[in-house]
Amino acid sequence: MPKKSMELLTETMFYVLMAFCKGAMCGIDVAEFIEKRTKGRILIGPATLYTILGKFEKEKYIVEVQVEGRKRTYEITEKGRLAYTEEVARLKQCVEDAKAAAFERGDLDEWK
Amino acid sequence: MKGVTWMSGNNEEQKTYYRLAPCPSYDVEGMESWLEDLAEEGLFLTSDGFFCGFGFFHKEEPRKVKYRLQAGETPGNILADGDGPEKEQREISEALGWEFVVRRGEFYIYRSMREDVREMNTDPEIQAITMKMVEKRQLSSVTTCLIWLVLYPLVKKNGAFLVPMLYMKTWFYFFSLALILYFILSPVWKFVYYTKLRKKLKKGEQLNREKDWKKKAWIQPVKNIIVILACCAWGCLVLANIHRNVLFEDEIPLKDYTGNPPFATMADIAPGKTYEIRPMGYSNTVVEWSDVLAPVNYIWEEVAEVWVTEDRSVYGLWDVNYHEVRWPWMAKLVAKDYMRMDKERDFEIIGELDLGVDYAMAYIDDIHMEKIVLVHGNKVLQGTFHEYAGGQENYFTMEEWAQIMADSIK
Repeated sequence: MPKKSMELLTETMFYVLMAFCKGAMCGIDVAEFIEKRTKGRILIGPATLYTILGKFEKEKYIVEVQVEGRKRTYEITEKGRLAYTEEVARLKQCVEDAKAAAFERGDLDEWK
Repeated sequence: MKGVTWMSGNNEEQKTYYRLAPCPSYDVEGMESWLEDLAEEGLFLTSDGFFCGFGFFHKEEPRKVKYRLQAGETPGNILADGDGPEKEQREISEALGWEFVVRRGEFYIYRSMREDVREMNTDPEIQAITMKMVEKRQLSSVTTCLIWLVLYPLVKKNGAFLVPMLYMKTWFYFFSLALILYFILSPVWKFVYYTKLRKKLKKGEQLNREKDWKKKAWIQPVKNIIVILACCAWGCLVLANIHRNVLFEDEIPLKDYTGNPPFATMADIAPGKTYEIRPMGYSNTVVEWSDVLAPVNYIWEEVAEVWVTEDRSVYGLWDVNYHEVRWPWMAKLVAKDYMRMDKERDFEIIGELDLGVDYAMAYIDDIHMEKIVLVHGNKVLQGTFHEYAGGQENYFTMEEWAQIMADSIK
């Protein structure tokens, strides 16, 4: 059965949820977290980040907990945490499947 | 082009320069490319934004900057470009190296002076989501335009369009129609553009920031000028028409009219007999005009008294709308239009009459007046005669006065 749109998290969306799993944060903190965690591989753009925050809030993956001037702080909800853990499980399965396929080919160099 | 001198934030005088945008507000790639090229010439967009297609710029040291257009959260509108982004969005953008400049149409315009700044949008799939929002708004605009500019006028007139066209003159009708089509097709065009852009982003492709805006740079300004001039001309014509109607400039009092209308008037119901116009304040006028699709047109409103016998007069209202159109098939359509326009709550068809013309239909209109529409060749006549019998029986039956009108157009 095809997955619905919010069941498919892009890489950026996944990392945003990862950031919120660490704790409540505002948008700028999320951007810094992602940059550090990926060692600069992913530099999330402000428009992308703002759109994801809006979408997650609408889907109740995160909820606003504090407003200070122009900064809004969010924390992850149970629904958001569940979506994150499901995505982690899916990605783990992808890695396992890739390992198994490489083993069948006898090509284990990429896993060293 | 140089413009007004104004005082900048640090009290230094800065001239404002005006540049006509070479691409429409929805052309994201073209706008970004154009603004960046202007920055390399030393022109930087100010927070005054755009007005009638003209952008407001300041002159500074030429340098490479990045401009990015980001879909707005709320719709822009034709009178004002609308609000800026939410505070949180500005906070995040500024922290990551982007300043909000101004809004144009559906988009916020951001700028960064840093060469190493991260892009505004780093995930094309996410960017496609915001484009979908703009697409939906555009579809809503198309629907609104279709309803108010096409369906509503048709429904109001019960689908009649030929008679209103003759009354407002065919050339003006088609001029108005052209403007209506432009205002309907404009959001359709934008909708198609946004859909293409969204599909491009969804495939993971990036926008073309090197788009050659110079290629068709003349089209947008010329189009803008034509549209502005056309709207101004249309507005002036409407005001002039209202002015003429308020002052009844097109109406000639019957007592001053020396023409010879090609249809029966009250004087014809008893030729040679005493005939006197009765002043009513709002009636006893004739309007006569020519049109490309109907060379002869009359609106005749007459209240008069005719002494049909020595001791009997006929006093009543005699109204005729008369047209000689180009083709007989058009005459039939005009006749049907008149009936459609009268088709309100208490409308009732009496039936076809045998008057020796091509077509004759009698009906009762929404204010309980007996009316007829006649067609003979390319002539159309809608007429009514309401006798003020004062308690007596009407002198003429409907068939009798209808026959008088029919005989006059054979």
